[in-house]
Amino acid sequence: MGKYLARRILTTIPVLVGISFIVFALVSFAPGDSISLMLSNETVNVENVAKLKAELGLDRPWYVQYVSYIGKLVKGDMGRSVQFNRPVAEMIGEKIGNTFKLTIFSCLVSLCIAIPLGVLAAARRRSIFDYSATAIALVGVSMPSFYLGLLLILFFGLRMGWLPIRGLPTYDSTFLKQIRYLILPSITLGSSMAGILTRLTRATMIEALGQDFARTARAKGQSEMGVLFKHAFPNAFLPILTTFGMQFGSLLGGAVIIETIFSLPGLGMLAMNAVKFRDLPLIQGTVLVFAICFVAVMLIVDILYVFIDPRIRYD
Amino acid sequence: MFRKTFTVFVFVVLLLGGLTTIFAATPRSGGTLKVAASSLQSLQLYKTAANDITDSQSVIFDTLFILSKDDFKPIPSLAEGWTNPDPLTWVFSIKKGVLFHDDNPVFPKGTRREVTADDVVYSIEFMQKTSTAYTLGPITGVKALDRYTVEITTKTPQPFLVNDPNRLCRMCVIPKEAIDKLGEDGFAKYPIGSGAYKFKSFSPDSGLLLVKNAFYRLPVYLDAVEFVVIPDPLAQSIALQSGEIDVIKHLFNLEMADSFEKNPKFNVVKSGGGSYRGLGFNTTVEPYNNPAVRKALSMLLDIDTAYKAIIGDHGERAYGQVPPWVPFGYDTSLKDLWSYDPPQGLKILAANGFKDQDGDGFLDLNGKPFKIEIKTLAGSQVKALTILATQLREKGINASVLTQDTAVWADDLLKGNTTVFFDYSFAGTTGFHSLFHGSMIGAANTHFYNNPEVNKLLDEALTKVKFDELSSLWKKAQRLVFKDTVGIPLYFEYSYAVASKKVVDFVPPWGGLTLVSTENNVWLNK
Repeated sequence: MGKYLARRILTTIPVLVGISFIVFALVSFAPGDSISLMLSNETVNVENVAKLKAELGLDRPWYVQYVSYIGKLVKGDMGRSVQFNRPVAEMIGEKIGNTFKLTIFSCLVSLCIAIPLGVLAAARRRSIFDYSATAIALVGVSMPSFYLGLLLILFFGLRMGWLPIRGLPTYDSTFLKQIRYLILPSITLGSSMAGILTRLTRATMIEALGQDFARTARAKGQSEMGVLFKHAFPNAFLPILTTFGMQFGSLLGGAVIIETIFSLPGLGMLAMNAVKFRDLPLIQGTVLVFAICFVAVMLIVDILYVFIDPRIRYD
Repeated sequence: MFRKTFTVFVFVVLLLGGLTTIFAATPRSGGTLKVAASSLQSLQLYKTAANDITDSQSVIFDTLFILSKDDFKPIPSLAEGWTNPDPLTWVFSIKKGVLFHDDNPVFPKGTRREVTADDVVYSIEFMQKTSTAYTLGPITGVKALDRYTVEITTKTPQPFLVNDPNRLCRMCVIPKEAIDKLGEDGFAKYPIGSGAYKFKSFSPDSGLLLVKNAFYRLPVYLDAVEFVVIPDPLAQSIALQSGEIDVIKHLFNLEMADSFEKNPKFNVVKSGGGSYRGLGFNTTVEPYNNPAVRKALSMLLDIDTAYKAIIGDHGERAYGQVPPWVPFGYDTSLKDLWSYDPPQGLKILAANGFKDQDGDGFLDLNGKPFKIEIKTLAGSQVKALTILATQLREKGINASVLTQDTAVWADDLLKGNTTVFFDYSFAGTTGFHSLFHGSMIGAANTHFYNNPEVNKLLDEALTKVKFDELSSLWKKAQRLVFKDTVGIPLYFEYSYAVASKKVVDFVPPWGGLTLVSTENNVWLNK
C-alpha cells in the first residue's frame, strides 16, 4: 500500500507540471492581458505600467517567465498577483477553506438526497416513488446551476426572507450561522451531483438486488431492509464511489459559478476574477490548487476501495 | 362643544406633525450602514484604481480636500485652504488638532498623534513612489514650511492637481511610523488614517468593517460602516431589496433605476457625474483614415432616436466628449458639427468609392465587400450600438456589433486591431486629453490620432491654472477633433446610487466616497 501511495503521489508531479504548462501557455497566447487592462484606464500612464511590468517580470518572453515560475514554485513561491500585488499563496490560503466548506456541504447534500432516493427507488421499482425519484433526479441533472441558484435566491431569500442570499457571513460567524448561509449554495451546487448519483444508485442497486447473494439472503430470512443495506448496497457502492470522486471535480468547477452568484469568497470567485483580469500568477495558482484537490480526492477514493471491497489489493 | 373639540384635535395633529418633521430632520446616532462592493480583495494604497478600494480608503483616510457634490470643485477637508503664490507653487495649510486613529498596532489605545505637515509630505512622496494606478503629475518638490503648512512645487502649471478626481484628491494622509512598523503589506492589512471611520476588520472579497472615529473633527452619526462584497449587480439589487445591504453606490443597470424609483422603500440618488458614450474610429486604417468617410458615416446615424430608446431620461445627447459636469470645456456649440443627413452621407460615400457592386444590398468599397464591426465591451451601450448598426444596415452598410470580454476589447483597442469601436467612457477632467492627445497613443488614445494642432492646444491648456483660459483652449481642441470626426459622440449617461429610505444624506461617490463632510453627513433614520 505504501509503495502504491508513493508511486501515485510521484505520478501526480508530471500531471501538475503538465497542467501548469498548458495553463501558462494558454493564458499567454490568449488575447488581452492585465497590462492592456491597466493601460485602458484613464488614470494610468505608460511609464507607471512599464515600471510595474518590469517589477513583475512581465516584459520577458512567456517561456522565460514559465521557467522562472516553475523555479519559484519548487521553492514554494507561487508569485504575486498582478492585479492586487499580493502573494498568491496567501490569497489562496484565505479562500480555500470557504471552497472546501461549500464542496463538502454540497457533497453531503447530494449524498443525503441521492443514496436514500436511489436505494428506495430500486427497492420499489416501477412504483410512484420510483417514477418521482427518477423525475427529481432528471430535474437535478438538467437544470443549470446558475439558474437554480437565482430561483432559490429569489424565493427563499427575497420572497420568503428565510435564508440569506450570500454564501457566508462576514463577521461573528458561528458554525451554525455559517451552515445557515451555506444552505442555498450547497443545494444549488449539489443538485446536479445528487441527480447523477440518484440515477446511478438506482441502477446499481437494481443490478445488485437481482444477484444470487441477494436472493440467498432473502431465502435465509433476512429482512428487506437488511437485504438492501447489508448485502446489496455495499456491493453497489463501488461504482457510486468512483462516480462520486469524478463528480467532486465538477463540484470544484461548479464552485466558480456558484461562488460568484452567492458572493461566497472562495477559490472559484478568486479564479473568476483572475481570469477576467488575466492575472497569470493567480490563474496558475488557483488552477494548480484545483488540480491538486482533484488528484487528492481520486487518490482517497482509490484507497477507500480497499476498505470497501476486501478483494481489492494494491500490493 | 364640537367646534372646540375639533380645534383641539387639529392643533394636536399639527403639533405631532411638526414634531415628527423636526425629529425626522434631526440626525440620529447609531446603526451600521451596509454598502455593497463588487470586489474588495486588498486595501493596498494606489495599486489599483478599483472604485470599491478607493471608496473604502476615502472613509478611513483624510485627504487634503474633497470634490464638492454640487460642481465637483475642490473644497477643503484636512486642508484649511490653499493658495497659489505662482502657477508652479501650491501652499496648503492643514487643520490643527486632527488625530490619527488609536487602538491599533501602531498607536495603542489613548495615544492619538496629531497629523502634521510632515505626514502630508511623507504621504505625497509615498504616493509618488508606490503608485501604479495614479499619477500626481510632474511634482518637483514637497516640503513642510512649518508644522501645519505644506508647499508643493511643480515643473509646469498643473490645473488638474486639485480638480481631477484621480490626482491629489486620492492622496491618503498616512502616518510614517505605521509604514515603518507594519510595512506596505502589513499596512494594507491594518490601515491607519485620520478619517471619520477607523479600521476594525477585513476579510478579502467578503467584507470590510469600519467603526466610528469618536475623535473626528465633525460629528459622526453612524456607529459603523460595512462594505459587503457582492460581485454580481443583480445579486446586489436583490440584497438591497431583502435588506442585507443599505446602499448600492453605483447602479450598473439603468433599467433597475426605473424599478427602484417606483418602489417607495428606496431613494434613487442621481450622481452629479456619469459616463461618456461614443463611437471611435481607428484613424490609421482604411477607409477610416479618410475624414470624409468618417463624416459620411456620422450622417447616417439617427443618434437621438437610438439613445432615447435605450436610456430615456437617464442621459443626454453628447455633441463633444467633455460632459457638462466637468467644470471646463463643455461646449454645446459643437451641435453644429453633427447632422442626420443620410442622402448627403451616402453621396459622400459614393464619391469615395463606395458602391454596391455585387448586388447584395450592401455597399462595397473599391469592388471589395465593406463591413463595419463595432467592437465593444458589455454594458448598457450595447443596445444603443445595436440600434445604430441596424440603422447603418438599413442604409446599405453591412454593420454589426461585437461584444467582447473586457480584456480582449482593451487589447484590441491598444494594438489597433479595430476599425470602429465603443469609445472609452472617460468622462473626468483629463478624459479628453487621454483620448485624443498624440502622447497618449499606446495608452488611452486608441484612435491613434495625432494632430499637432490639437496637441499644441492641449499642451498649452495644461499650463493654465485658471479655468476660463483652460476652457477656451479645451473647446478649440475639441472642435478640431470632432471636425475631423475622430469619434462620434453619442450621449452622456447619468450615474445613480440607490439607498434604502432609512439612509439619509447619502451622496454618490466622485473622487472617493464621502460619508462625513461639511457638505453631507450620512445617518440612519430608524
